[in-house]
Amino acid sequence: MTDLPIKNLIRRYRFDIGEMTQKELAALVGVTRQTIVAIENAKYSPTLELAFKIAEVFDASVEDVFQYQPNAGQKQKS
Amino acid sequence: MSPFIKSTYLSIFTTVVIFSVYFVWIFQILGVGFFAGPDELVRIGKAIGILTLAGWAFEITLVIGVTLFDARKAGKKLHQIVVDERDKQINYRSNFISMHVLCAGLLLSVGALAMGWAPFWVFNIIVLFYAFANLTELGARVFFIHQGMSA
Repeated sequence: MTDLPIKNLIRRYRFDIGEMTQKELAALVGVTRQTIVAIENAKYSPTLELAFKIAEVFDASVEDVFQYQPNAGQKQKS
Repeated sequence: MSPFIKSTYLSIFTTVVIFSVYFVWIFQILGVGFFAGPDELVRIGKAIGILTLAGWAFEITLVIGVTLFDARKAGKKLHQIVVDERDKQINYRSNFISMHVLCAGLLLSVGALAMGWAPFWVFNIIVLFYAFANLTELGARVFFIHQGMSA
């Protein structure tokens, strides 16, 4: 399965705020750790609500945490 | 392992067990001859009724039992078990795929009925495709869980 065009910096933000684990982040935003793994690996695009919750945890804006890169997805397909 | 993944694997196990028991019971123990005669519909109806009730009871007991056990082990209450948006999307999509398998079975059974097949075989085509549909749904779930879930 190809990667999705929505990239994110969740991994970097997690480490920037004291090496927060995926499990801790998952608990804070109310999802499973598997969902955080899938989002970090660009295998799942979160809903807007979840994206806002994740950004809120990092005290950042959604645009800081998530980036839309449509060409990245196309590169993966070719 | 999340409760969703665990319940998926458990459901694959229960589906295989339930339908294997059903088909062995119908074809090996009772035999096709048991369902011949004037009360054919009543007998096949009872068999499918028992399959449905016993199957649900078995699956519900096992899945809820294991989930409760895991929750207790992790010191959580049942409402604290997370089924998140991705799990729900995976569920919807795999349901959608399995619906096509079930519809194919229903259409085949209608065709079989039109061709004059005995009700025993018509009903068992439906049961067989119900089993296929279940396994397709669970297989799709496993696929989406492991391969990601693009919207």
